[in-house]
Amino acid sequence: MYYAESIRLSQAEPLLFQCGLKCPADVDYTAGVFDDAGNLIAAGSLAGDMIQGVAVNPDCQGEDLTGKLLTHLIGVAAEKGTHALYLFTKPEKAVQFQGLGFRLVASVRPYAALLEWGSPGIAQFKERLSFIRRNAELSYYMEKSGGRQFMAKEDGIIPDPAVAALVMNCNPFTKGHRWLVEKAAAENDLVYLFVVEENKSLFSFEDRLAMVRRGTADLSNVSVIAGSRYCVSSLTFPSYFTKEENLAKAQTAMDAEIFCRHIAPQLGITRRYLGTEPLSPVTAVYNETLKARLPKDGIEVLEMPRLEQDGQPVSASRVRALLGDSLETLQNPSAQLISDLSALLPQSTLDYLMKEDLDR
Amino acid sequence: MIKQKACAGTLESSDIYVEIAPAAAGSGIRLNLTSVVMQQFGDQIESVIRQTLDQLDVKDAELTVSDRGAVDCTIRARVETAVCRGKGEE
Repeated sequence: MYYAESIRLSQAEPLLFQCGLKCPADVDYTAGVFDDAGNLIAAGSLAGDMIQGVAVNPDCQGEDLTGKLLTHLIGVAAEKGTHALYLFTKPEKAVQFQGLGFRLVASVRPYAALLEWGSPGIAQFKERLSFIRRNAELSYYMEKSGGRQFMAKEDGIIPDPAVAALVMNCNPFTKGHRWLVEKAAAENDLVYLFVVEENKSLFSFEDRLAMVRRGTADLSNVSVIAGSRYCVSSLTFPSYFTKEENLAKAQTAMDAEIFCRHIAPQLGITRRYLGTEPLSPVTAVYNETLKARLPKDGIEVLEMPRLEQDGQPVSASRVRALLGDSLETLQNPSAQLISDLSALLPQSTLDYLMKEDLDR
Repeated sequence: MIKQKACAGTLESSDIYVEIAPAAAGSGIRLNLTSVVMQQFGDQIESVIRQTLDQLDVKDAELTVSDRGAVDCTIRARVETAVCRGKGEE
């Protein structure tokens, strides 16, 4: 008989090595499966809501150790209140996890497949997108028809809206972001603006979302959407924040795949706007991947040069540099700082930074 | 009445993993079933699950079930256990 129990990650290292896997980082919990003789024959870890480093001794495959291991990990996660879990694996191994009841979110050969377990999952996110789409389209048809939207829509008198999407971190929301959103809003009937939902930036997600909402409140055809775990998060894109360029390729491919397969069709998106980022190699890889992948699904990619001021691009990183990468600087800002910031930030962001109690 | 999220069973071969969650009164049973033998036995598995819930007087719940070829008595046992845990009776 085999039994599963909690072990230290270091105990799993030889097995991971044997299976050609790297040791996962930031692990909260590791489980091992042992045989009667006390040999470790399978191991897997939890890092937040990610299942990582699932390894089974090659001599013991076919013994259904993965099922035992994952049952244990799912149980441990549930005890901690985590009911939605994610797992990356090689594309050819996805089917093995699907057999256990995991759902395939997306697969990008030859890099990786993303699977999920439990809820809320991508299905729930898509339901929310549908709801947002209905509201946005209703306003569009209302406006175009002067209130007779149902009749008009069915008669086909009013053309389908041109729909664009942007995905932004907005750390914080600058004049550059505003310029890009404004351009998309002018060139399209509906714009969906996803804000990256990850708390790995100087400004918290809540603050970034609030700044974007305030900064675009006057653009009636723009819907601001929380990006969830499916839009450039460390789930789809861990290296975005760690700047490992090679891993970035795999992760951007995954991000593009999820966008094409799930997000764009759900919202009827036909255009994606990107800002160039001449200073960041990771963003360059990201943009290249999107430009290669999205047109295959009929989505036009428009890469816009950065808004410039005094010969320099208006960028959030410049704002953060002015702040010395610390929110403390905003406690007691000098007149010089405010004047420097106001060159880069729209009034709405400036007001937010000066008045609101930021989430530190 | 299901009061809390609960689960029973395993993902091992010949077993079934049942997760049950509360649902609003009147919303009925929402069943999300995956099985390795879906094509041959999907309908039967579903009917065993629904019968068991009925016998336990569970009217509203959301279930996520992953089956790996469990026999009927195993399915019933796992559903019963998940329901007991969900009602807080265990």
